[in-house]
Amino acid sequence: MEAFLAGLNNLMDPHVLIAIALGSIGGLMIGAVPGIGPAIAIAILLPATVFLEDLVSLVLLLGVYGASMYGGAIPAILINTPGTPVNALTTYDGFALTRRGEAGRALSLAYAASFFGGCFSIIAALLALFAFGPYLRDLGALFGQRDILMAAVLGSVLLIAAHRQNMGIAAMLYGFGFLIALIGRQSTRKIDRYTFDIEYLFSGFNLIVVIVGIFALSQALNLMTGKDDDPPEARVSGGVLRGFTELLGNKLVCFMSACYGTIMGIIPGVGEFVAQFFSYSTARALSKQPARFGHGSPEGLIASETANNAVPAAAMIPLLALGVPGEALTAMMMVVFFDAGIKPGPDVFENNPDFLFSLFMALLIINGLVLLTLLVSTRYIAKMIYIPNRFLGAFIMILSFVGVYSIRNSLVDCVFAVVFGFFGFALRRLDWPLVPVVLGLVLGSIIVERLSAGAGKIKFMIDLVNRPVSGTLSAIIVLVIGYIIWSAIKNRGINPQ
Amino acid sequence: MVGRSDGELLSVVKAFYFCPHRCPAGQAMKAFPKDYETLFMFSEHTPFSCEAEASDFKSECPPDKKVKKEDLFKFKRGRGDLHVSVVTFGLAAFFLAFFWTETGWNTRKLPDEFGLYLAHQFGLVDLEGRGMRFGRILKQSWFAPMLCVLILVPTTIWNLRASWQVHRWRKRFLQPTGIGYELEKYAAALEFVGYFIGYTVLVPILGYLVSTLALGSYLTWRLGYRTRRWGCISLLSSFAIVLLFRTFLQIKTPGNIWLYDQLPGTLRSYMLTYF
Amino acid sequence: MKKLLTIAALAATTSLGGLAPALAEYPDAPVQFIVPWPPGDFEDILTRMIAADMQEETGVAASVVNKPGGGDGPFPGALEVLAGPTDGSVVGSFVIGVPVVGPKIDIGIDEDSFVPVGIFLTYPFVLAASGDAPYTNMAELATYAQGNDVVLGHFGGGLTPTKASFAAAKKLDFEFADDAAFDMLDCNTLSSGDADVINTTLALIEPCLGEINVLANIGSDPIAKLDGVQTLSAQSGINDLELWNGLFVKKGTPQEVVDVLAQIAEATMASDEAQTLMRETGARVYWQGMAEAQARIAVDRDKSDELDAIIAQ
Repeated sequence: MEAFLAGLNNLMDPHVLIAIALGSIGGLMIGAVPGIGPAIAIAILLPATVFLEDLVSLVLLLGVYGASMYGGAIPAILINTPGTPVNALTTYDGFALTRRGEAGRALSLAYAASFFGGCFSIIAALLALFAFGPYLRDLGALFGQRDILMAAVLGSVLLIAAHRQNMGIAAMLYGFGFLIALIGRQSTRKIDRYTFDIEYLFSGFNLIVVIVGIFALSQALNLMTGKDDDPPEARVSGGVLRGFTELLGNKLVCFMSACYGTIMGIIPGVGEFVAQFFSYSTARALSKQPARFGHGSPEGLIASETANNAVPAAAMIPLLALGVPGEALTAMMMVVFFDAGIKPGPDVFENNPDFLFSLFMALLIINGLVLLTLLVSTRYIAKMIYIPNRFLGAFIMILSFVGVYSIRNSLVDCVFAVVFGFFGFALRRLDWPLVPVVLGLVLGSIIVERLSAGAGKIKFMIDLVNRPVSGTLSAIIVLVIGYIIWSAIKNRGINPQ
Repeated sequence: MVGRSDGELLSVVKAFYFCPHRCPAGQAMKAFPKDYETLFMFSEHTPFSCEAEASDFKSECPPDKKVKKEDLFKFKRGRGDLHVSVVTFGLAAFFLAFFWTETGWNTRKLPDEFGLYLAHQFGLVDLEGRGMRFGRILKQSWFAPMLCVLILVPTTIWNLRASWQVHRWRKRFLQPTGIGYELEKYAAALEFVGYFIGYTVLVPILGYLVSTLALGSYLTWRLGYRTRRWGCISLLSSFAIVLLFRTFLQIKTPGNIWLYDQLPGTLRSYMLTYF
Repeated sequence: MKKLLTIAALAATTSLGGLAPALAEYPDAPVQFIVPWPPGDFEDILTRMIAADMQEETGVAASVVNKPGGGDGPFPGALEVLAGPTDGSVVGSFVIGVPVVGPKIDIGIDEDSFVPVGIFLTYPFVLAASGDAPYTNMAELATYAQGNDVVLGHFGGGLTPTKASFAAAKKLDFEFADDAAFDMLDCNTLSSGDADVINTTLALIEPCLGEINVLANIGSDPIAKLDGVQTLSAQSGINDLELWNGLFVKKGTPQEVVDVLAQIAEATMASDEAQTLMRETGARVYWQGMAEAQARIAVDRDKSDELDAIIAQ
């Protein structure tokens, strides 16, 4: 109890509160701009954190991280471009709702779902840490390279299964994404794949370059070569509370997605992408109206937004308890922990309990602050739809440059981003799904990395699956693949047109 | 259809256009009446109403092929599908062709007796001395590309086949299938790709501020927003972007700027840092 | 730790904004330090201290950027420095592997690609095994490995500590059944069973130090913090190659840049914060200027060749 009060006390420092506010609102805006995601913002802010006090820098980064996913839902819903890579699935249902003129409903639903997801995982994380703290160490020991490998494979299989009507295309695009992830050279491991001795290709394609290209630049091209359309009356009235009422009507989806997000966040190395997909696929499977998914299903929107906002707080758990970051962005924040003298590990509860409370209370405040901001400013943010399409496309293009260049200071990256953009443009024209390419890239690199790291201990083929976690996951994979094959055979012969 | 309620009309329309109007068990659908004037006009019965005795009319639509709502939203292959499918097939073929040389397959280390090795793996045979560890095969550089090629080749072939079938269907029903339209659309996109690449080339020369202002205003003009109001909007928003990202957030932009090098010392470093 | 780093952070005044007072020709543009590893390890902490001190002293923005190479170790980050300008705006914080091993793998780094500004850190690099492993030092490991499979986890096949481990194994007459390159080797690697023996620095296994067996440390002297652990060279008869980290600039950078950097870094290493870090963690923090560093690199190149020879036998 004293620790709780001490933690709360730490937060009452004006510097900390200002950092929370700046981080939240900044994160909201950064998330709302496609092509600039929390990764870039955090990468930029990290050097600045050296000059700030521990908690101040941490809450600033957390604010950006947590708020960006709220902000990312805005363009995902309004203009079919995810503001951050993790809002990819929100585009499916969110944009469909916008096209029907229900942008306000979609936005309020997304915020409410995000808030629920965020708070759920924060509270779950707090409970978990304090109830299971000492035992989490042993749980971490269950998750080795091969287990994470199987989790990534399962995510891939579920991704393909989720595209029920065009699994073949999804699988093909996943394959391309995977292959793009492989291109590169690692001299120390004697790995050289498809580099054709071209120097630029030695380091391979960067994830953000591909994402900005395939999502942002393709949409920019799409918009600029298209027409300005008269968007329907987006009656953005009623604020966020309406979203909460709708949330109550979908309690099961809500709760389940929040659970997924939390669990996926805790599993080291998995992250928001897979959380969204598991959550979306399951919501679709359990739904009474699965056909609406992808075409304006509120359940789909809830599923994706709740899950991805539940991940950040949950990702703090393996970071704090085991020193293992839950996903990429959390890993970037590890340095701030170190600067603050927090040694992640099981003894973090004994040593710094007040810090932990401060951390999670700060996250809670961030979520609340973002929600309040959106309550007031949704109307203004939603005015973005009235920006003419082609003009918007031009500006997405300009913003993408900055986002891409700042990754590796490489102009060639920018050229490749626009090449991917052209490819994404082709995909958009044909109504082919974009997300498998990006997920092929992400999951593919996880798979390859974990495979080569885990290969040391693999003597027989069975060693891949004879651990408790990887065995269970592989069994599930086999079941899902079986289901895919079975449904493909069952639906054979239905005329494609 | 005077005198009918909307619900009834709707059900008539539905019944007329969609086959599976199911009759309760033991009944069958009534046949068409011979005098068709009374078909809809004042008749109480629709052609598809049920009557107790079985008649000799049997619907051709099998009862369980109901039109589901999902089918209305089914994924349909569009116009340019075949062309892109051919391109993807070409890409997959390209990767397959270069798999043998570019992935380390030519330097592979696989056990000599593969059958024996498999038996050893499955515990059937006990090899004296060490059989090769499976992990050593997994670690080799060609393994993951092999998995990719194994996914890509079948799926692209399948996709091409499906796309070709749809293409033939479209041709048969005289729907547009020419490549010209597609090329026009792609050329339009390529123009903007060109602008982006030009911008990329321009930034190291003129600096981020000038290039962004230039691109912002040029694109706005090119896209047709040619009033002064739009000109101002484009300039202001470009400037705002530069301010936010370069001045405040200090995001990295190219360093060696020719234009800034022409400026005197302190102004040069100021511009480099903040613009 | 918290207090000393708080002092370090607070000691650096935030001077973002404002024109750079041109005290010297260098630095006049923002300086970027590139650390080719994920954040959190010693070189990262110390480089951040240097950057903070530089910013405070010169008023120019100095930042640290982490560019981990994933499975490829420090080399991608090193190549980035190589691709940068020679005006001192990009400075590399590199481990021994970059100048010593880099030229040997065909990656674009030559022996004279980088000029050392100085060396400031010796890692407390160890070979560690899980607590319930049936061996506590190299001799017992050698005996155990004769009849059982032992898998080594390391940061990359060509890197110096990896080579040292293999050479030691050769000398002690055993073989690792297999090895794997990881991008992060910490407590979780051991407890989840991904490797039996790992090469890592003390910073990364700090949380579980009490529960694992440290078999040996790679360096010339035992680490005070770990008692009962002997050096790898003492236990196996290989040379006592140390793993260090230093500041490097690209070849062709003016001497003035090197001098300014050296002056700032030396002061940082002598500061209380850095010295406390040393005492508490087992790392060795010091400053060796350009000439000493170049001599040391030459010696280390020979030692590395020796290790290669042992492995190749």
